[in-house]
Amino acid sequence: MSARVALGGAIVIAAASVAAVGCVSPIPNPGAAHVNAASTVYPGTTVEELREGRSLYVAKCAGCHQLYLPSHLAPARWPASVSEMRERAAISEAHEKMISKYLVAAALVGAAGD
Amino acid sequence: MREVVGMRSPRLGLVAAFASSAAALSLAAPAAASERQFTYTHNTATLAPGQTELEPWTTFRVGREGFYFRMQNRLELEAGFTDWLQGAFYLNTSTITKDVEPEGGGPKVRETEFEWEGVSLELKAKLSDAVADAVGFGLYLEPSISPTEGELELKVLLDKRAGDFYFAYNLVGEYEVKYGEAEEVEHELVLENDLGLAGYIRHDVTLGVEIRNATVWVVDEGFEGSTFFAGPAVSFHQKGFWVSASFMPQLFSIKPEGAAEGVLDLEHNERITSRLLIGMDL
Repeated sequence: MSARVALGGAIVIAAASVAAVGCVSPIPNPGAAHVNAASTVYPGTTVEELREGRSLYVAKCAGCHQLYLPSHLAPARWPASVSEMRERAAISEAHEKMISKYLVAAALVGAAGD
Repeated sequence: MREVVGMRSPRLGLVAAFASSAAALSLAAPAAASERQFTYTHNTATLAPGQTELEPWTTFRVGREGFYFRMQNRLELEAGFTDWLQGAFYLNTSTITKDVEPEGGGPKVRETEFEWEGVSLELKAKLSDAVADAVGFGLYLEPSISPTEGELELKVLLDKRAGDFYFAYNLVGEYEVKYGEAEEVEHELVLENDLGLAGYIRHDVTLGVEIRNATVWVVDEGFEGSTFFAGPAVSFHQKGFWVSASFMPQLFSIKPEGAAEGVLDLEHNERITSRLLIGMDL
C-alpha cells in the first residue's frame, strides 16, 4: 500500500473531526433580553457593558478551567463564585463586576427560557 | 549521551514513575489547573497570564521485535504569558530495556540504558475558545534538541466542548534530523493525526477514546510507514491538579513494499504505548 492511502486515512480522520464540531456558541452574545434581565439586579446596565463582560469572561476565565455555561449556577450564585476566583485569575474588581453582570444576565435569560 | 546501567526490572521503572508522580502531587498547591482530557491530543486552552504549572509526563512503550520496554519521562514547566499565549520548557529522558546480541556473539543479553533526550521549548497560542466559539482553534510550536537529534514540531489544534462531550483534533507536522549514532545524518518528515473523543461521566471525570496515526518519510529513502494506534483515555481533575492517562495498542501499519510481513510495524514502533500525564499548579 502506498503513502497516498495513509494520507487518505489521515484526511478522513480530520474530516470526521471537523464534522463533529457544533456551530452555535452556548455562551450567548448579549441582546435586549439580557439588558432587561440585568437591569432587574443592576439598574442602568447597558448592552456594551454586557458585551465587555462576555469578552472578559471568555478571555480571563478559560485560563483556569473550561468555561462554565451561564446555566451552570443559579443567577444569584454567580457573583460570589466569580469573586472567589478573582484573585487566582488576576482579575481587577471592575472586571469582576462586569463578568458577574454578564453571567447573572445570561443565567436569568436562560432560566426564563427553560 | 548514553549510559548502560545494567540489568534492571521494568517493574522498578514503573514503580519509580508512579512514586515520583505521587511525590510531586503531594507538593501541589490548592489552586485551579488547565486540565487535559487526552495524552497525545492537545487542547487549545492556555494558562492565564502569570499562572505556572508543573507537568510530569511518563510514556511506556512496550514490545518490538524481541523484548523491548521503554519508559520516557518528560518534566514540563508551563507558564501563561497573556490571555492567549503560553510557553513551556521540557527536560526529556528515557530508559530502555531490551535484548541485544553481545559483540562477541552468544545468547542475547537484556540491557537497560538511560538516555538523556535533551530539552524542548513550547509556544502555544489560543485563537478561539472550545466552549464560547464554534470551534476552539490554536497553534503550537515545539523545537527540541538532544545529543542525537533535533526536531521541530508544528501543530494545528482544534477542539470543542458540546454539553457533556469533548472532542479534540491535532494535525501535526514534524521535521527531524538524526545525527548522533547513524553514520550519515538522516532527515525525516512526520505527519501525525491525533484525535480524541470523550464524555464527561462526572463534572471532573472524562472517559473516551484516543486515536493516533503517524506517517513517516525518510528523506532520500521515501515512505517508511504509517501506523495507527487507538485505545481508551481517562482524565480526572480537581482544584490544583489533573491526571490524564491512555492505553493505546498499535492497530495496524501501512508499510512500504519490501518491508517485513505482518499487520504491525514492530521495527519502528511498539506494540503498546501508554501515557500518564499529571498537571499541578505551582
